[in-house]
Amino acid sequence: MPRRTSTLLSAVTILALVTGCAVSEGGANSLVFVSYGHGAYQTGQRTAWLEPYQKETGTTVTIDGPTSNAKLKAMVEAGKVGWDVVDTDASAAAQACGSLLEPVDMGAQARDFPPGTLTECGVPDAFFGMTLMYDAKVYGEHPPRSLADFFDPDRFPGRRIVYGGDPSVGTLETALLADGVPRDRLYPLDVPRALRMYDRIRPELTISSTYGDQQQRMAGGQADMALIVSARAYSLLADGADWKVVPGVPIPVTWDVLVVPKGTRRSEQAKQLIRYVCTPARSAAFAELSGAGPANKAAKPRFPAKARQLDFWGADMADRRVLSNVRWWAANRTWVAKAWSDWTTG
Amino acid sequence: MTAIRPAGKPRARAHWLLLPAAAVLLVVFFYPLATILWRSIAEPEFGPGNYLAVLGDAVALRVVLRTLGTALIITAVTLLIAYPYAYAMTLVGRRARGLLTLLVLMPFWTSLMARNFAWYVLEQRGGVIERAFAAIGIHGVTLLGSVAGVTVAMVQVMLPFMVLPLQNAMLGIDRGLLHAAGSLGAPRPTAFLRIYLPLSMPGVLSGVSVVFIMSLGFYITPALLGTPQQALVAQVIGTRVNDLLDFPGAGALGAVLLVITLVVLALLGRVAGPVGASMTGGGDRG
Repeated sequence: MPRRTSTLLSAVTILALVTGCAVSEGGANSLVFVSYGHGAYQTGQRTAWLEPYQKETGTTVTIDGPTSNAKLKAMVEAGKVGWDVVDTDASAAAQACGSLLEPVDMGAQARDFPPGTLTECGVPDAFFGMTLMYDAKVYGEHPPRSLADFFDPDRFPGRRIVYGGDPSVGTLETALLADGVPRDRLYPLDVPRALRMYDRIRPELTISSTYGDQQQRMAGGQADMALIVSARAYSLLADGADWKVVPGVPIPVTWDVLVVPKGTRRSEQAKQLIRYVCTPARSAAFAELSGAGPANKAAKPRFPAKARQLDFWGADMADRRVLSNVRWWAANRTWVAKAWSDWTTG
Repeated sequence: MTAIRPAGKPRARAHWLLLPAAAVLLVVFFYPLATILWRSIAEPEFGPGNYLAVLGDAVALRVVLRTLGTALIITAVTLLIAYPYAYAMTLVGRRARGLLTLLVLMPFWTSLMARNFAWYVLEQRGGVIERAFAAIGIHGVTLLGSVAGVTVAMVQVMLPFMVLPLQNAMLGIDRGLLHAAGSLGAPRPTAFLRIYLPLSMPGVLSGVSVVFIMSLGFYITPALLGTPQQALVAQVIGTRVNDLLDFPGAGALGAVLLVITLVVLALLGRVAGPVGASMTGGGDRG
């Protein structure tokens, strides 16, 4: 009998050891920074933020990715938090504040962000404009000129593509603006009305579950018209794709935030890194590399000509940008995400 | 289903040989499964709420039905291709059979992701398939993002799981029985239908159950080649976990899928009766 018991015990012990080793904690002088993919976005963060920070402070910053709110939630609930600073979307952060995320006190730096964008747990680090684009080869002399054209398959036939993983990136706002809802009366969002707009183009619509997939399909001729976040539009244009931005239309603006998961043992160092990357110089450097809008109002990134049309912070864009109402999203995110996912899978 | 018993008295000592497998399953399968099931009834408050929500959710039910229908089509198509193929394998010589086995196993050895991306390229707009159809006058056949596109790719993935049990069952059939039927006056089709087909049924049932059950839980292929508008249940579970952060709801939907799978398995086991002993349950792949 003892031999049998010990066989079982050793097997279980080995397994426990193997699974237990999966979470590596690193030392006190190191941080794990989590962001999206391997594109211009994360490369920009590494070059503009993490490498200089490493040089100045001696802290080793390890990059992990992609961000997954589900993984973050599972880590915090299991009490095994391996992430210290996470780049995620603003409304998810506002919703999870207090339960999964720690408050980040920005002190005097709080004034540096566009009004209404800084929340208790989420520090804005990158801004995106929801941009209407079209394949120049397809539409040539007769390009779409308004948001409404995206939802009009009769006048503008062709395959549409949107990102479907998260409706809070301006997807619904665009539909309502296209349907004539005034900018200042967008919130509370009339979600059924927005979905009725998408009903019109349902047969023509491709829904990508990642931005990478969306960008790849656009470059590969799998779509003719797209609603795409500006940082991806920037990458697409930088790669030389023959796509054009529809000028003069309203641009719903959303942003990503940096958060500190509850339960990390290095929350002070994590907050120090966050305060560092929000300085005007770091903010501008990242914006130039990634094409995302800078988070610090004082940042003055120098964009190449191609990217200037995507710069929604530009002086001539003031009457076109429509900032997301992050508080409305935080309060309504659960049911809106379900309604959107039901619409897409229904 | 009944398990195969070795001839003679079952030897109790032999059960210890299962211990390593049991320990692994306990830690990496049953413990997580129990956690998922527990959370599906314990959160957000204790009760059947998540299950009632799934059963009252028209979209979830539509997706479950769509998944069952797609799995059924995939199984039927796979069987239609695999049966004559396996039959041919039993007729040809040893070397040709080796070649045929190699052909059916080749995709099996290729990475699932590589195959998915290969199908992606073939099926996309302006891809090989669309141009081939255009060449014979049928325009606008873009399989990418459709149930048809997913079905084609999944049939290819599933073929070995159908061909191998079929061929296994067919190799055990004594062809002399067909000659006997012929000499007793049965025309060849009758001999096939009355003698060969029933004898090959164990292979059919085991192939069908493996392919059907694996198709129910497939994730990557529909996610990559399909579209959210035609989502299958595994994708919806993925959305609930990743985008909606609804872990208990996803667990409930997973449990519903598990119950359907077990019911299908039990039904096939009943149909198969004792011959079902050779059936194996399929796991999720990809």
